[in-house]
Amino acid sequence: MTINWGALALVAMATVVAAVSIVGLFSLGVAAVTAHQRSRGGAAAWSLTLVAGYACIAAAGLIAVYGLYLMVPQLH
Amino acid sequence: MGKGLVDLRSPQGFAAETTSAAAILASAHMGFGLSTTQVCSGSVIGVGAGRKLATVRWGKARRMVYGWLLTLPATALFGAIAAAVALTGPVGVLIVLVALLAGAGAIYAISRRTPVTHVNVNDSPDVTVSFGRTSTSTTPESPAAACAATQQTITLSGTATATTPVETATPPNTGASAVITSTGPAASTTAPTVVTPLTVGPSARQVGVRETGARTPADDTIPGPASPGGQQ
Repeated sequence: MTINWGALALVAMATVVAAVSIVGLFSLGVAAVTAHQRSRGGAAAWSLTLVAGYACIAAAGLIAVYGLYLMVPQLH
Repeated sequence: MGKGLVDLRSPQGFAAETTSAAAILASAHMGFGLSTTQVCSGSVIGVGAGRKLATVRWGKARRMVYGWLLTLPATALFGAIAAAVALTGPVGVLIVLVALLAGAGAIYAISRRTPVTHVNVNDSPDVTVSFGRTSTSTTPESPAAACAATQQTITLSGTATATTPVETATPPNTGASAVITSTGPAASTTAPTVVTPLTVGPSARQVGVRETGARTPADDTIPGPASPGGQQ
């Protein structure tokens, strides 16, 4: 019985990187959007905080989409 | 898993699910499949241990690990027995089938003793299951019980604040001489101290609105007692 230790290490590393980046970026985005809403009192006005928050959430979504792109063999 | 093993909130649930999805999809992409149950259990336990006040019930986690360790030899043993019986012929296959149905029926009958329905599926394990080492320090109550408790305190405070302004409101109307001895600023200071606790509950707020509505003629009578004071 042979164990592909390289694949195991790769999976562990990919899991840690993907989880930390997605969760961290999404949490950062939620915190930024919340900070914007609290500072403006719910008023619909744009600010750098709000844009950065939505950018973080979009980046988290892009990472997830990139993961799906890596997995589906028909895409490459 | 999110209630019995670890007390999960939404952010921790998000982190645990993301980690589980990444691990499962990456391992499946590399060609070896991991057990979904084990991956989810590990991420949930890790998320619970990562919190500042860790609420992982390690006794239950240890029992899960014991169950996993016991599963492999137990299923191997019963598989070997079933194969040995079934390979003897059609009668052996029938015996295995009957034993299988009897075992499944017994498990189903045992599970019906304490059925899990939509009513008690979210109950706290401290309510339904009583182990020796479950810690009741952090959040032993179910959310429904906590919500009912807060509602009860709200209604109690509402009645308490509803009765006290009426008692404080009646003396200016009945005993006019007692109010006259107190000066005008003293009466104005008692008015906010009555009004401020009225913002506790919605029922108390309605009473407060009516009380402030009833107090505005009382404030109108406060300059009034100045003139009866002049009469005295």
